[in-house]
Amino acid sequence: MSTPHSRAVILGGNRIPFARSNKQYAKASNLDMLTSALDGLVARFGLAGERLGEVAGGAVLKHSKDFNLTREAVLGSALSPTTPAFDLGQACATGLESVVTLTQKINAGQMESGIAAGVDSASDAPIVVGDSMREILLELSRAKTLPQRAKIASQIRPSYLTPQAPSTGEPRTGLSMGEHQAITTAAWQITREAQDELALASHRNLARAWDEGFFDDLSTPYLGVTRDTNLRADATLDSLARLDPVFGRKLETPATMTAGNSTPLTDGASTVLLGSEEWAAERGFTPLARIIDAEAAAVDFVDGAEGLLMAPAYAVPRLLARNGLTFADFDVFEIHEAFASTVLCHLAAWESEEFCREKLGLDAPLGSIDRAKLNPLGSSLAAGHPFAATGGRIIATTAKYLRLTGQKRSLVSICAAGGQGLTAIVEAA
Amino acid sequence: MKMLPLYAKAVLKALPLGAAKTGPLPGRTIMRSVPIEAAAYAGFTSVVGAGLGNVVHPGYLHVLAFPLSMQLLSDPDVPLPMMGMVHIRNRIDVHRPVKVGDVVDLHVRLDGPFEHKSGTTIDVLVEGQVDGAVAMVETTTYLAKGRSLPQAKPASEAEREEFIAPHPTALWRLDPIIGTRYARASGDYNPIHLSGLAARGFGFPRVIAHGMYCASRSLAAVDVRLPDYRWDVTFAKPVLLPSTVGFAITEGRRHEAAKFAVFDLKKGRPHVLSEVSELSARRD
Repeated sequence: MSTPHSRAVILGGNRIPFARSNKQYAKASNLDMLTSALDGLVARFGLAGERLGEVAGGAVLKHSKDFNLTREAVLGSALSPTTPAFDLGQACATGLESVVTLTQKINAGQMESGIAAGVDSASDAPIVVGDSMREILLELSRAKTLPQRAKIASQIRPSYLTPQAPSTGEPRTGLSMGEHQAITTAAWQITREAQDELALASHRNLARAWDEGFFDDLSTPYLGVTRDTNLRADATLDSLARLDPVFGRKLETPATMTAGNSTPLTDGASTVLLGSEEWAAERGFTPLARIIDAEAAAVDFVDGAEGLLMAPAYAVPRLLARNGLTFADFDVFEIHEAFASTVLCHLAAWESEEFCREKLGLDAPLGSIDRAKLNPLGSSLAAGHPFAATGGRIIATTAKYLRLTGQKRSLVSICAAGGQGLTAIVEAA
Repeated sequence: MKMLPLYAKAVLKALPLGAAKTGPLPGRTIMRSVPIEAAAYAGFTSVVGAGLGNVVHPGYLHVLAFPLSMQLLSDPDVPLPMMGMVHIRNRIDVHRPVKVGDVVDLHVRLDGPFEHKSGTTIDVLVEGQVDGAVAMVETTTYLAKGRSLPQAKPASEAEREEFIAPHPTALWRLDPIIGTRYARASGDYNPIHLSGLAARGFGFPRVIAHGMYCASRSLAAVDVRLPDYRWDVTFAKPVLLPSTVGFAITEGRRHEAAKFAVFDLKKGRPHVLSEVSELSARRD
């Protein structure tokens, strides 16, 4: 029997295979993809026409017209139109935050069932003009005479017309996420080889999982795509080593981050079905796992005091301490691979006596993670990373994996823009 | 105030007509009360990337006093031509926060001329009062390059510390239109910020960004939360537009006392060096 505070269980998930941006899903909107992922889940669990407690979801790259994206997806899905929904956002942690939030609502007894979701299209992205062009357009609209307009329009330069399309740039620093990570990678002296090895493991593990049919009941083909299109089953260390660095080329240290060990812009959507144990039992659904606890952290990256994507390194020790656990108590570590070096920086930080003492205030380092337990079904380097959809992919994957292997506990960690990170403990139900 | 005729007058005065004047600077103080209106202030904050809050960015107080300082500097009795003068230093002591909606009583006068290793400088001294209490005191230093005056007073010049470019914590991509945008927000229509032709006339290969734009944007990035503080700015090489420049805090941290710099990414040379220090800590 579960305690009153942990009655929420993870019952399953569904995602559309992820596709590299501007390819197969180029014309699909966030709403299209989210509705499809939702409908796949509804079909698998026979929930057509049902009123669920709530659907929560979001997208990082969001059109202003999509203010009610998740509710619109519900209305377009086979769910009962009386199912309420809300949007939320925590950059790349949006999907996991949806899971955590609905888990708490079910644990609190507010509702019996819910679907956590996330979607992102880097292809059908909102187009915004830069401040310079915006200023000119506003001036043009205020101008009264043709000569005035001509004079104002003459200020337009070709570069101003470049739309500000999906960007992973941090608003406060003007640096892309990759450039931020390149600084952290250099500071932790993460080698190119180590990054490529992690990327290779990600591709191999994900390819094996697809081959073994692991994702058969976690995905629904969409627009002819049946597998994650970023997956390179034939990748080798040699093929990865041939790629030129794309980030950190202006640093004094050698650039190590390539298109092979960094995630590409990706389109995709994911969903996770959550319910109380009672609700699941009534319908004959098998609980896979449950969220035991979650911890968010944030770092001050703006003036360079800490690396942009290092927040999980702070969240995990707090989460472990609160639950009286150590790394030895975990069977699986699902650490989102924004970049291979992000994962490796987190691992290095937890192994570092200095970091654990100075930054975390611990007497001893957290220790190492058994690499065989790290992302055993591949992660974002292979699957791609449609920002808000990554959390749902990871939670559904690890919940099913725990159930399938009979293992007990998984640590989930996702870094996010704005110097944030969200982490969670998942236990077999 | 219309700034363009002032600049036209200043250009004429820059021409080598007549002998250099040897008298003192005009000693008068110009006073004006200026209300801080939200809409105009928002125009400033959006250009320099500051948040629009109730507390006024001190760079905007400089903007409010600017027409008065130009009025004094273009006085025929000033023995140096205003046009071509270079803004080399700026110091603002913020004694108490000025808020949107306050009426600032500005008192502006000149001080100098002072000797300088590359010419002669004049200081514009601004005192801003709100409800009779001094809220800010500013010293703006302009250099007339290659000019020397017999009546110039000796001035101690602080040695500039050697600048070693840090790793940029932010990149600023600056479009040429930033000159026009800041001119509109600040009322400083100096043509070297607006027209490539004018800029070339003063020896710059391209349009240059307003120094106070870079300085104010730097201060906005540091987002000072001290109750009172001194904001010192030294202008080194001008920023040519367009360009991408680096920004970093070199000492201290955001919200607190700090040193910070805008610098050339390729050559590592400084454009604008700033320092914020706590004023109350200085009263020893």
